[in-house]
Amino acid sequence: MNYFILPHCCIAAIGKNAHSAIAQAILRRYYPEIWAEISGPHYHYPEGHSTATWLWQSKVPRTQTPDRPVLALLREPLERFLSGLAWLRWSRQVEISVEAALTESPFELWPQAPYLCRLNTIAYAFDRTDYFCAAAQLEYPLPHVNVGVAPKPVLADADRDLVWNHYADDFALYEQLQDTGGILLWP
Amino acid sequence: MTAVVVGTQTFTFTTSSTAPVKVEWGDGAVDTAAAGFNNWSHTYSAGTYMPQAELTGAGQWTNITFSSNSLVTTIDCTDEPASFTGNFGVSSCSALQTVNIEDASNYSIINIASNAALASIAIPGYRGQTGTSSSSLESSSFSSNNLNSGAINALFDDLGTAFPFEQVIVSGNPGAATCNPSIATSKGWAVRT
Repeated sequence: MNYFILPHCCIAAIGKNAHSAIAQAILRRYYPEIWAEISGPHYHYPEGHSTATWLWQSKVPRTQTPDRPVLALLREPLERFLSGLAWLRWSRQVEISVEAALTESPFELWPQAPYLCRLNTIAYAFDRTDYFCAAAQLEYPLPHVNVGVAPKPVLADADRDLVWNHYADDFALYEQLQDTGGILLWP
Repeated sequence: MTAVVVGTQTFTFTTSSTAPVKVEWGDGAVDTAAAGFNNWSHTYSAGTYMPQAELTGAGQWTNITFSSNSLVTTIDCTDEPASFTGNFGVSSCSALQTVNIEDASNYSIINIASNAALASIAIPGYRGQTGTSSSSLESSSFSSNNLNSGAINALFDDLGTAFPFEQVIVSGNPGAATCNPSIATSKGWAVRT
């Protein structure tokens, strides 16, 4: 699990939770030299793309052992799973079943709760993104990057049960987050 | 996978696979290992050899890495594409001149960088790493080799249609400034020259 490094905090790099948008906002705000480099003449983009539409999370300095307070933007688990599954099917251009996706557990589908294993973590629900951005001192609204283009799948009841079981901790965490008004100091 | 080795030093590489592996070192010696991660090492007498590694059961390669190996001059991968679904890395191999992957359409991540004599890379069909479990949208790097502009353009010609948001890096090669990135960008790749 990676955490983006900011001067005053770290941000949990959670796939499908505005991950690309947060990364771009961090680069523009805190690492302008990196942003300038990937916007410079040595970078060439496919037609219709530019620095602002590309995914650059790999360029954000990160750590697996954050040494400062952590901010985490969390998403309703079922909504997030559907977004992740849609992305997988679109990006790989193959049909992936719910069971296969959960078994493989690619980055985009990793559970959210384990990112909150550290002290001094503040979790924000998606509808508190404005507070999240204020705490991280990032632009709000976040830039629109990698907005889902594939239709979200509709799950059969059996598949929905698989998702509920797989993300039981995430569902419990998100419920707790809702009970605290969308902002939760962890633990 | 076959390599050409020239010299008398110890030759090393690492593999990971889901099937057992046999390595014929090309001088009569043969080693075998169970599936999993394996660190291979063999010391040659003076001469030129063609060691060959192959799977000996049902399964796949998941990783092959050559690093800081001063003996290898050529690497050929002629496995069926379905037998390789992992990462392929070659770095700091000072005598390496040619890497030839017969069909890279199923390779997950290829990084071939910092090989000072490497003048030719063939990776037909390579599409990038988005289709992998651990995707973090890292780049596929072919930087700091000895590729001229023609060799870089040939590499771009080889690339398949990229998975979304793939990047290929060719900076640090003699031909980086004069290659034609549009060959790759037209297939969906971002290019760092």
